[in-house]
Amino acid sequence: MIFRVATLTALGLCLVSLSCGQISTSSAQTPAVQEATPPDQKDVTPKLNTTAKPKKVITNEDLEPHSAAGTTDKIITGDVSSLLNCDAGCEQQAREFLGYDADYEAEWRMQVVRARRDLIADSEWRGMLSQSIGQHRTYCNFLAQQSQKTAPSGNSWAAQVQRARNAKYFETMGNTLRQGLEMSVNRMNNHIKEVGELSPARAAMMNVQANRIFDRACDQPPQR
Amino acid sequence: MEWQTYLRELYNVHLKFCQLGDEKREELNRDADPHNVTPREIAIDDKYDAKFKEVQATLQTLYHRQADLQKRFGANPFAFQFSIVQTSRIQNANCALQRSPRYAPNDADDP
Repeated sequence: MIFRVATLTALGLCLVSLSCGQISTSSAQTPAVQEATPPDQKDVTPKLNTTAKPKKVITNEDLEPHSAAGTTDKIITGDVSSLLNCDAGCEQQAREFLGYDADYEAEWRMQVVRARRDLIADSEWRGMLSQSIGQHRTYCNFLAQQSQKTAPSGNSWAAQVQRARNAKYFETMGNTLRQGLEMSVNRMNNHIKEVGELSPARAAMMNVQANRIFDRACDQPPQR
Repeated sequence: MEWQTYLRELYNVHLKFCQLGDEKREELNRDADPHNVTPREIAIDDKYDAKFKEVQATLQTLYHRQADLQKRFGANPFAFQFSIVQTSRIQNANCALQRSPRYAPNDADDP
């Protein structure tokens, strides 16, 4: 459980920093498009990549192409729809969690009607789910990036500086992700607690939904 | 008055759920094999699943009316919250009363 929270926390930070990165990249690219300078950009980008390849510092912008790279996005999109809904399996887990066995089928059947209805109408909760799904995806991208070890391996001064920069980046990014994730988890737990006072069934279903998001294993990093 | 009628209807549906639960349990106790899951048991389960779904649809229809009725309490936040508590008490109530043993008035053991 502690590990799960820690994992979640780590994910949260990524969202915040990623969204900042996305905003900065889009604001930088949009004027360029308006000025009709894409050919220049195309020329510049490869040069930067080739010259800075050995010393490249991984930035927030590097995360975005991975997630937008194609097949992984499709997989995640499929996951999202199933994670936003509490399907029959989710309901069954909630029922078991609350201890509604066969003797209490009538009570469960009645409560689940209202719980389903309210769950669909709860836009705040759906927003939290969407956000946490995004945070999870970002954290997975971060872990994949971390595992790729792009820092140079030599003993030269430049290589050592680059390794130090990379380590600093991963530490800062990891902390940011964890903080954001922690905030998300707290918000979700508070919401579940509020709901639980009037509808234990709905709260249990929400709990299952949240656990499903945060217990997911990261997909394999995209092949390069 | 209309709100009270609604609550009564809600409670009647609740009783219907409890009644179905009791019937299913009794039927399973009568026909099921405690050592195995038999086709007969599955048939009973399917039969009551359909019945429960019918009552769930009735309940769903009932809930559609609730929002409109509760709007009348909008001017008074306390009344509005109280109406929510009333419905949630019915919704979350269990069927324990129906399960408790009933004694006939002429029961010899009854003092």
